[in-house]
Amino acid sequence: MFSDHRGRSGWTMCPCILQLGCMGTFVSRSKRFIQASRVAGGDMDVPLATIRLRGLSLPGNVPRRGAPVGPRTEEPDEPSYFMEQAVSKRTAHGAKPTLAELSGVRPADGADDMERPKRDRPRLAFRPFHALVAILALSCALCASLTMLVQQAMHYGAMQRSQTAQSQEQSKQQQSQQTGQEAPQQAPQQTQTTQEPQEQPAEPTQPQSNQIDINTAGLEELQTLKGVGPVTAQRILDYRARIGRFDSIDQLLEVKGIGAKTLAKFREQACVR
Amino acid sequence: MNGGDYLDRERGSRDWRLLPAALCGWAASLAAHAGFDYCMNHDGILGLLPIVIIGTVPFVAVSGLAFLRLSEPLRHWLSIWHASVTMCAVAAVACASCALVYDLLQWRDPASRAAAGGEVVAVMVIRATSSAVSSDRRSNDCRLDARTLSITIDGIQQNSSARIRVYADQPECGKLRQGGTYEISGTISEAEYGAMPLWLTDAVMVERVRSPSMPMRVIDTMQQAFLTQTAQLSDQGKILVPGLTLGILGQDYVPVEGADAGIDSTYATQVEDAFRRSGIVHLMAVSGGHLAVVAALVRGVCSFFLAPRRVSALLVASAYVMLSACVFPSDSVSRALMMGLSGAACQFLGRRGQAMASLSWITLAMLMVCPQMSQSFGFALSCAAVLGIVLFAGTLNAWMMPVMPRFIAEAMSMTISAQVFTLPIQVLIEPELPIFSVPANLVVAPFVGFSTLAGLASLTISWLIPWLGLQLARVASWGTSVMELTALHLGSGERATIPWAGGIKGAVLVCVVEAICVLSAIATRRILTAMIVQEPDLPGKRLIVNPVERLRMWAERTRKTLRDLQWEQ
Repeated sequence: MFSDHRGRSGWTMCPCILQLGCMGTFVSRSKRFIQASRVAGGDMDVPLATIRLRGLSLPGNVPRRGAPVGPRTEEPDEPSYFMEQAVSKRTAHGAKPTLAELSGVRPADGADDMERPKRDRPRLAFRPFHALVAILALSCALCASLTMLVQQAMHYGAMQRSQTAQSQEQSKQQQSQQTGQEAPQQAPQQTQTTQEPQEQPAEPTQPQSNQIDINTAGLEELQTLKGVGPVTAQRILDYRARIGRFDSIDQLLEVKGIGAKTLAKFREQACVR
Repeated sequence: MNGGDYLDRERGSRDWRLLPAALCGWAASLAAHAGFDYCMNHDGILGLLPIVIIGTVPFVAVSGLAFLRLSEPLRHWLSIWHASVTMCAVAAVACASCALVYDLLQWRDPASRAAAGGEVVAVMVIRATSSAVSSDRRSNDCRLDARTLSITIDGIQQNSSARIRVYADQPECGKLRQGGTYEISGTISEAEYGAMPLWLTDAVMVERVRSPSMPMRVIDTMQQAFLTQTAQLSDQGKILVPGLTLGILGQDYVPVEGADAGIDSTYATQVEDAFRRSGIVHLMAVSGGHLAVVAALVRGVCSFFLAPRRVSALLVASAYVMLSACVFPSDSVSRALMMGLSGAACQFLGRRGQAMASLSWITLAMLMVCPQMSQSFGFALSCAAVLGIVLFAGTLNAWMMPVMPRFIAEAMSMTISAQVFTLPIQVLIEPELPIFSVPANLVVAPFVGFSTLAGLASLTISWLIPWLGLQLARVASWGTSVMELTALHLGSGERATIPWAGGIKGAVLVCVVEAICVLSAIATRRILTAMIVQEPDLPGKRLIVNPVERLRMWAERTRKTLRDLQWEQ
């Protein structure tokens, strides 16, 4: 068994490597043999396995008799006895390679350390092209993240919500104020309170071409606002006729049927010009 | 050539190329934060900081041109490593720029400016980014993390986008929900401690401006139903089952409308301390382990139905997203979600996933998108644990597998490799080392999986079938009872922890001690291998080297011989 291995000479007597012993009879890559095959077949750099498979005809090589069976690693340059016999047989009969010739592992098949190094180190070095691709990806991510950070700080959406909250407060304040005030007095008060927040821009929404001016809109146009139907649109027109003109969108809260939530729905679509 | 030899020995499946870049990016982000604080404390002039940051990359790139004139070996070496160094510099510049921009925007935010002048009374409109939990300030009942939308001081309203922690009392706590927008009056000030830079205290008059969105309301209902069921468990179940499932301990949850779960606060504090001292407190934070359990379940179901790879990947990704939405938000959950999604994407594309590469990319992306993450301990602990597992778990497992049963070897290798990099960070938080963390983790490891699954099942079902949810929570509490026993026995007492130096010194000392341990372990292994192998010049490995394997073979052969032996009459 394996534990019988003792010393360098011991392993050759182990039955488990009988196969290896046989394999030693086959030739390792020998320069002369390959050169001979190149001369014969005219092929460049044909590996041994291919030669075996193709069963190429070879120049007449006299098989050496009495070649010893055993590991031939100390004489890599000499062609072996069995291989040449097999090849010459094939040459003689023109037959395909047999299974015995194709199967098995031969010393020639094993690569030594110089040709196939063991890959055991982690990858730490960047190739220039990969580095460029990674730098490009990082730059894109950097642009995206900077845009997001700045956008968060600007936060346009917050302005609308704060406007809604603020207009809620204002409507509460106006309801708690003394009744009987006329509409013209309400309008300057409201414009005053809307002017108080100095840091805020005066108009929350930028004038855009698709916004409806509630001072000039007709019945059909007002009905295109979200949450506003024919009855509410008529009420808006009536209220507008009563007060003259709207100075701010928040004045729409005075109209019956329009509350804070409804106003928030169509705030973006309407403007006061 | 040495360089060519190195490149030929590189292995593509262990791609660590971005690890130095991610580390440089993190260090640069921290340095940018520290540099900005320093500049703002000294006359508010940034000085050369932006120029240094922006100029590093061209300098490094151009300095590489100098190597064209050098001698051959150095030139070859430089040509291999120049691209890596440039990559590190680019990552550092990107992360530092994001950190600088973030700090600048935060500094000029109206809320920060108001708080910098001292305590100010203000009306703020905020959007809650987390749920209300128990307050760590004695004077308040609950706290909530939020992002400000606007601030009104003395009637002047300004837009604002700052991170703020709101402290409130009952009954306002019941109104505050994650995802909702609220208008609160209170006192804004700079934070004395904690993760958020600003505090809003003495909150009165909480008004809801906008309710949370529909998914958030559904999740809130699920969580409340689950926590109602866990309130009926035993004492340790009330505390630990929510912690294992949602990432929030039972005593930290603020019940709605004053419905008390009846948790003894002394006992709760004792359990929490015991968990920390025995080194298993990471179980009470949602992390990659939870996602892995869910993913294993989903993949098992998909392979039972022979679903195609892409369907399986999509289902796993959606399971990750739903799980992350249902648990309490934290930095480690975000990191785990991103890594899980990248793994699912690799499965979708049919490519082999590279844990180290995805960890590096996600770290860099999160440091650029949320620059405050570089100062977050939760994020650092999470990344350090994953880094340790990716680097060392395989090797340790291979070392331990021959000498101990497989599940013990796997649990031990995971624990030790995760602790390698988290110990220095833990020392930064709390200057003491837990001694019994490895045995404690070993003991609780078999129970974490099924407890987590039972808890998550209870969370899913409690709002539909409360009775079934209670039974599943009870199953989960069996697992947590083992955890509680382990923690109380190993974590209490004087000998559970070693006091250590605090701060950076302590962390460096821990790293040095760990390096010494690792080097001695490697040296011991080399010596043992050299001693045991009798034919060192032969290729291959001896089969029966370790004594455990020999014992096993002997026992098997003895049994076989005794069975086959013919006894004569």
